[in-house]
Parts: sequence; structure tokens; C-alpha cells
Amino acid sequence: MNNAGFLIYLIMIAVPAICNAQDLSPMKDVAGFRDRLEKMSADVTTISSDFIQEKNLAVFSEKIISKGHFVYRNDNKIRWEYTSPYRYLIIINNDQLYTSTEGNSKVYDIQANRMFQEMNKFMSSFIRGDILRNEKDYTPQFFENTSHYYVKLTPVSTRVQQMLTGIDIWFDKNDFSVAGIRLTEPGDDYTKIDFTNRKLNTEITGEKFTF
Amino acid sequence: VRNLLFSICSLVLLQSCSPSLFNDFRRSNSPLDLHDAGWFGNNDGSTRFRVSVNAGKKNTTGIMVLKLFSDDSHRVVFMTEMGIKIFDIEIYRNGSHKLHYSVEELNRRTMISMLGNDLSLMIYPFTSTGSLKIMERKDGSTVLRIKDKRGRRYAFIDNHSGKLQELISSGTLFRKVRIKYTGKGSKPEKIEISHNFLKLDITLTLLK
Repeated sequence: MNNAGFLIYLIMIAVPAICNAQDLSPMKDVAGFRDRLEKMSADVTTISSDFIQEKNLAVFSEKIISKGHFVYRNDNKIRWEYTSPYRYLIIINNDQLYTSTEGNSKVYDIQANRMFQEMNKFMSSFIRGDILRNEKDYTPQFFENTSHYYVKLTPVSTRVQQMLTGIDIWFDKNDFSVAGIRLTEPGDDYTKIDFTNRKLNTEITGEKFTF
Repeated sequence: VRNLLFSICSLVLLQSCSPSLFNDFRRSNSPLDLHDAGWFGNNDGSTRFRVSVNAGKKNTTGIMVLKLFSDDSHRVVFMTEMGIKIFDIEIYRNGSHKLHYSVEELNRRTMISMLGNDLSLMIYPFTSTGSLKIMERKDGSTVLRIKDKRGRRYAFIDNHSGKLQELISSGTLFRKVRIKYTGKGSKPEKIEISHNFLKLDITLTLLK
């Protein structure tokens, strides 16, 4: 089996385990889930994980797969690194956003750019799971199966609706870490990210976030 | 008088910008298969490129997916590495285009028009509506002289591969575009688009 075939095979066996909607039922204890998620969010200092990103272009009925590694530290630091199909690095370190790809590096002041502020807020709220508190912008629905909690967020603000028609988040039942997210856009394009090899509260040095 | 002087100067300037370096042409009788010479005409699968856009001092990168969409059109989608769609445009064989989606920042008439023009020349460099003459240079290489509503342009064909190597369009002042294709197989490994009067360079590298 070639690399592409193996990747498709991995996705086929891994993704339905998380995303199979048929065995989902309404969550029994939503308040308990929220409490435990709050606690996990407060206790987690670092997260590191591999990820597989799947961009589905509805017009072509085809998926674009990217892979990489991501690191989060709770003092407002994120490293999001693509290794395939080519290397592309994004680092958020407090008020600075750094991007780098083959010979091209840029540093942006997040506070000077509203789009980057939104992006930073969005990424952080996903990673910690505290997007669920934002009921001003989203209406949540809660489900579960044997291995995952699943929250379906429907945007209510017009501003968000222009970009997204739905957000799905899967939480691992063992440690409440985010196992996968799916962002659905108008026109049925979507971006799905599955997080694998997740490690919580390991030591992550500042070097990962320097540029 | 001032207007007349300005017009004459403009004409001289414009004339000097036209590709007069191609005066060593002579008519060729060699047959040429345009379907084989183009890079996208026979392609029914999708093609993905890593894209780098240098506009002035700004650089943007992302992934472009290009696919034959109907008998007469290609669909082109450009997105960031994180999967945020920037634009979705359909390019027609006759040189026209239709925008299906664009982020707000890009959605300006001149920007979309330029984008449509560049992609149109890149995907459909020859013509289905205008005139096309096959010429031969002194060194034996084949050059096509094309004229249609997109303007006048010259297409340089590699004699060994029979593939389009370079396209120089001499459309209106700000639409002077040079497109270089590099590749050995059926898909171009690299495409470089540059504009004579704009600091806008686009490089596409094939993703395998």
C-alpha cells in the first residue's frame, strides 16, 4: 500500500470511530459535562498533539489532507506546524503571530490586526473547549457515545453565519481533551481536524514558541 | 497641443512596450497539436499547487486546486494552509470568468478581473474565438501569434516536448503578463506569472 493509500486507510478507520453519528444519543448529564470540562480547562497547562486536517471542497467532491503537530501552553502560546503536504509554521506568542514557509517568515502584531485577534481567540477557545461558554454567538446541542462527548454548535450571530454554518466538537471521555473538530462553511465545504497522540501537561519549553 | 503631445508620447511609450523583439518570425508549415501543447486541456483530474503571491512587499501563500469542471470551463479554488477559502472562480475556454466566492478583502472588480485574466491565460493560453498563426524563429523553435478579445500574445513551444514553455501577453498596459511553465510530465511542475507594470508575481509549484 502506498503512502496515500495508507493515509486514506487510517482516516477511514479512525474518523468513523469519532464521527459516527448513528450511535450518538443525547447527553445524559450536560451540567456534569460542563463542570468537568471547566475543571479540565483550568487544570491543563500544556497540550501537544499530532493532527490530520481534512478540507472537503464540495464543488470537487474531493478532500485535501494536511498533517502536522500542534503544541499549546496556557500562557497564550500556540505552535501549529504543518509537515505535509509541505512545511508551514504558525506560532502565536502572546501578542505576536509568526508564520514561516520555505524562505518566507513574517511577524504580525496581533493587537494591530482584528482578524488575527479573532483567529487567536477562536483557536484558544477551541483548544480549551471554552467556546461552549459563548452562547451569545452559538447555540449548543449535546450528545455522547461510548467513547466521546459530542457538541454541535450552531452559529446565531450573522457575522459568524457568514463564515460558518456549524461547528462540531468531539471530546475524549477519558480526559476531556478535544479529539476532533469540524467547521462547516456555507456551501457545505468543511474543514475537519482530528487530534491524535494527545498529551496533556507535559513539559514544553519556551523554545517551541521562539522565532 | 498638450493633449496631442501627450497622446503621441503615450503611443510611443506603449509601442516601445510591445513585444517587438519577435521580429525574426517566419510562417511555419509544421503541424502542431494545440491540445497536446497546452498543460490543462486534456487534464480531467484535479491539479494542486502550492501558491506564493508577492504583491508589493506583501507575501501570501496557500493551496490552489484546479479541475476541469465542464467541457468549456475549469474551476479554481484557492485557500490558506489552514483551509480558509479565499476565492472560487470558474474560468471559461472563451476567456471569460465567473466568480463563485471571494473573501470580502479581495472582492474588488479590478482585482477579480485581473485574477480572472491571469488564470484564463494560464489555463487556456490559446484561443477558440480569435486568430492564431504558427510561426517559426530562426533557431527553429515554434511560436504562436495569437489574437483574441484577451489581447495579443505570443506562445513559445518547446520543440522537444511540444509543450507550451512561455506565454507573453501584450494586452492593455496593466495586463502585460508573462507566464513561464516548467515541467517534464503531463502536469507543469512550476508556473511563474509576472506582470510588467505591477509588482505582482505569482508562483505555483505542483503538489504531488
